Amino acid sequence: MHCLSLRCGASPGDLDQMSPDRAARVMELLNDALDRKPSQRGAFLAQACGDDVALREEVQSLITAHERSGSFLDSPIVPNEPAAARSHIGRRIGRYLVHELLAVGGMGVVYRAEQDQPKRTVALKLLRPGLASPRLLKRFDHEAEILGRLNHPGIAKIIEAGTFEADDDVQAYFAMEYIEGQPLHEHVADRQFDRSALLTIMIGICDAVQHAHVNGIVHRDLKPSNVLIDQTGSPRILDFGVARLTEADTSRMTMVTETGQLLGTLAYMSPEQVTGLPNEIDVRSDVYSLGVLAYELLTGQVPHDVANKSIFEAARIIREEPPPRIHVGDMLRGDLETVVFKAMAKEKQRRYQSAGELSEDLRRFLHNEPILARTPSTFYLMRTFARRNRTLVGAAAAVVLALVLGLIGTMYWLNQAIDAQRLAEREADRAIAAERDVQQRLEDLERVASFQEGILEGIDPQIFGATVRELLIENIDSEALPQEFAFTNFTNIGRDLVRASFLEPAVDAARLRFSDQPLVHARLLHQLALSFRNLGFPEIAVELAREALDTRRSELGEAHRDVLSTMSDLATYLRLVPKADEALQWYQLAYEGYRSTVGPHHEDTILTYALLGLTLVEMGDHEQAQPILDDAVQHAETHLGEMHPVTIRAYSIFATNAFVQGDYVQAEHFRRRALETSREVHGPDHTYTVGHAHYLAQTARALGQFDEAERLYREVVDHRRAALGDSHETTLASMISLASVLRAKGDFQSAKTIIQKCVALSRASLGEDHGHTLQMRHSYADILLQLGQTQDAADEYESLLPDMNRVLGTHHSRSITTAYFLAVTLQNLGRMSEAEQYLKQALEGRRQVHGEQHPQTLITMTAMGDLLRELGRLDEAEAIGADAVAAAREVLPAGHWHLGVHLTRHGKTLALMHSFEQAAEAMLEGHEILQASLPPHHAQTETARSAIVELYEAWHEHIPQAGHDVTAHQWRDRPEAEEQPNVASEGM
Amino acid sequence: MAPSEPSGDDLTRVLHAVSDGDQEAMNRLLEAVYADLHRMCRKRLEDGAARHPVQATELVHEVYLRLIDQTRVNWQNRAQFFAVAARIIRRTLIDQIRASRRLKRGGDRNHVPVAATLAGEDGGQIDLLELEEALTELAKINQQAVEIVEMRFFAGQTHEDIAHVLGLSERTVRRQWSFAKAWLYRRMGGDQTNPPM
Repeated sequence: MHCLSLRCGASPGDLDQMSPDRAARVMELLNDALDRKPSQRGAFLAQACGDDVALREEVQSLITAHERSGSFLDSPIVPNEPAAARSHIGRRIGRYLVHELLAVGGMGVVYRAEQDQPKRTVALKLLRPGLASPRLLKRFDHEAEILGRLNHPGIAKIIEAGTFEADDDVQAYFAMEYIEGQPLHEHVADRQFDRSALLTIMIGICDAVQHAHVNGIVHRDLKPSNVLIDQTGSPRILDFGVARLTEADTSRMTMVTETGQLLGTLAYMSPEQVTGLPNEIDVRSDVYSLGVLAYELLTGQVPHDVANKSIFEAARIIREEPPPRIHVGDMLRGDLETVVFKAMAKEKQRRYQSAGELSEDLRRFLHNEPILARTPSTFYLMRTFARRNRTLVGAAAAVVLALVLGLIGTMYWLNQAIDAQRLAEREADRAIAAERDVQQRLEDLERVASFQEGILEGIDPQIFGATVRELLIENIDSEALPQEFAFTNFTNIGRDLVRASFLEPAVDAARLRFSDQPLVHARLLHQLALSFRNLGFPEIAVELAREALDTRRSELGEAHRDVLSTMSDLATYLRLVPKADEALQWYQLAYEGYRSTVGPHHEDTILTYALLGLTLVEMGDHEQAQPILDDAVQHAETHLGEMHPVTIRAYSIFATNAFVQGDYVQAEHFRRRALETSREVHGPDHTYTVGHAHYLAQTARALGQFDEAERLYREVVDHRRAALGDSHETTLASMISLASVLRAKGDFQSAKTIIQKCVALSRASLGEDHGHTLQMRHSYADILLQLGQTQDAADEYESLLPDMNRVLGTHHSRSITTAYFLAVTLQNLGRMSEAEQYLKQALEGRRQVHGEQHPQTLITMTAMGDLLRELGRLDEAEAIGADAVAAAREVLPAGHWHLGVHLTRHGKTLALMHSFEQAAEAMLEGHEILQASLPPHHAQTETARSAIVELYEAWHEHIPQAGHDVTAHQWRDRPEAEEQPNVASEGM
Repeated sequence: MAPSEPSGDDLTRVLHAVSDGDQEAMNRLLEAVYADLHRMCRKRLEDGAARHPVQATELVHEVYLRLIDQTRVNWQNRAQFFAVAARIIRRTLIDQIRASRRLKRGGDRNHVPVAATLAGEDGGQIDLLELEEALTELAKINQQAVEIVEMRFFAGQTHEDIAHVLGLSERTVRRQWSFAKAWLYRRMGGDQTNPPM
């Protein structure tokens, strides 16, 4: 075999000795030889070189090199577009004969071509292969037909769109009206136009754009190179609707092209376009671009010169920075500036709503009439500023897309670096330093990626939703609006927006971008799953985590750390769905995996084990959970130490199990340890620490330690107000908990103040009809009732009920509860017929929603019995009461205190009917049950006792001398207890 | 309405002048392209968010797209541009690669790391520094072949473009290319793209 390693000095034709003449001779001989068949080359060289052996060897060596060189240097650094383009000249594409290349652009090339029937010249635009997706190619004809409908002197008409086969590839083309003209830039630069001439051109452009808009077509890519000035001096707009056909918007371009061709057009793009929200693009996006064109015509500069900026910086500038003032230098300057600036407003709603409106105002200016655009008020500007800086998290939500894209970008580079690393590993001789370099890059990119992931996790749909709401209210100056939107749940809107606008496109983008890089794709899915979970879409999180898991398992095998952590995350999402059974299986698998790979004492192993236990707790399997949690706590303490986050988690999970089993003392012990350790490990202000304080407060409350509970809840409220703001859902929830402790303490006045505040905050931030607002209004009415402000309570319930019915439906359990409370309150006020009406509604709802024999239904039946009794309709009262008691005996566990209440109430009816024996029997049984099942001196027991007293007194009155007065006396002498209003019965 | 920096307009005019043989115009073009490449590299470095290695291809694309408003350059002008730009692209790339190697040893921070290898079509790698060495040596015996390599490899020109710009026949261009390709392949060790036989 011929030796190719010719760098060793023994090569023929030593360079230093070879003259240019000799080199030229070598070149000629090489090519002449190559032109011959391989079998004839030897003879040719022997003849041509004669006895110059060195020459022959040199040529022979180059022939060999040439044959082996394959595609060496064949792919240029810059792909050769015009070469491909020019090859079409003289060809027939569709019905057109290609004549001459007119232009080469980012999207493809444009030719002058000729059509036979009818005979005319067209501009034929060939899109770069691969630019139009197969899906788009399919609907090409349809779209072209729509574009063909545009018929306006200012618009270059699209004649046809089609596809043709070129080099095994399907390529798309447009045939457009051929316009002899000059691009806008050149036209303006070559002449000295006065301002009114420029404005006349601008008005012409606007009118043409307006025509397209009226026909439902948005240009999306208005820029000077798309405007030609024809020989009559009129503007003609090119490429209408083409951008949409090629989906040439930012989000796609950012990812698909890395050539920077976007930069040229970025300056003309609206904020919604640079943000990459394709669904947000509408006619007003064109209005923005028209504003930029006008600005440039008037000042000679684009408002934001972003050509040298990175794409993210450019997007930020366009979204946020106001354009520099226009210095035209006369009195009317202000008006013209106002018009142009209005067209370029950052928010679509503040722009002209159509190109026609813009054109009208330009005309007014031209004719010295007052313009319609108003200068944005200082107030508005301040609001904008305030909003922009409102909260860090809100800002994070606003730039979340940039982050998602940035993350994908980083992942791309990360992947490149990983490839480079693999390469470096393969070529070990390529210097260790290079590998270290790659490693460094890899680590940097890892850091960037995790930073971006971290911010992604910080998206708060509630704040996002509140911002959306504010924007809406602010931007639509209609009186009707706030009312209309009062009944919208903006947190849900925020959540849906984040999902639909950012996360779902991110999932698609990840799929598109990394289809051939499964591990990077899996990593992104893993991250996005977490974001979906945090947004409250656990079902989507489950799907994504499953996909990530499948990929990682098949790529990495079962035992890889990434696989195990994906399993564990999948299980966590499954718990939320909830699919506890499946979650359990994954935790089990992950636990076993961790055990065998990192050992039983590793933090991941212990944490997964504890979560396994927690799942069992959530499934109600306390017996199986207990030993697992014992182990988890013990392992954590022994092997990780007390001061370890996983140990804190283990304490907390252990406490949860104790709490739900009613072992409050044990729960309190572990909760307190969790809280104290968390203060040390995470710091007193950390979300985790605050969460542990919340749980401890809950436990203290259950233990009846109301002062301690109050103290802790106040701490939680303070932290959350500082960290999340007053009106955040989580802050409000902890305020409500605080109020409920105050109620339990009997401090109704303080509770009332807090709840009142919550209602106001919730109304303002979440909206009138948010579930939380409704719930708080209910609590507020409850507390009024407890304060004895029965009338006020009734008013509250009465105004709440229609809202509940409308938002949740009449058959929602909360609506039913409100109807019930309203009825009972009205009953207390003596408004009996109204009370009956609402109670009927509640009872009917209970029966339908919960079923005939549901404990809640039975309680409502007994309440109905009470009402009917008071109305004197004793037969009806007896019938419904007897049904309630019979059903309660059937469905409730033996000795349940509810039965005691039903019996007592039913007994009252029987007493009024003078069925004293039966009444006594029922009431005594009832009292006995209550006494056995409730804590001593419980209000219900006391109520039952006084009912018994009343019974014997009435009995005595009816049949004196039977000794019933003595019995009554005995019952009365039992320990005193204050009267409780019977309204507290539901929920009990 | 020309932007303040060297714009497509200016360059288009310069290109016209260049094709008329105006040496002064040629120098201006060289200056503009060279300055622009360097400015862009610096910008990239200052922009903390984009501190990743610049791919050679990306760099070249950006220069071209930023300098030339493509809708107004016909293909002859474009070929002219690339003929000039090819040399600058080659030089700038090599400068950047060398600078980034120095950087690793604590040198000038004013350069962006540039990936030193290019992926060949069939998965092989071309080391740009080795190519540079080989080109320098080739230039000693056949300057024309080097120009053709520059225009073809660094600027993606066709033989037809190159023939037009250099005033040669297409046949000559093709023959020079065959020679250069074989010669460089041999000079660079022959194992650049294909596995050893």
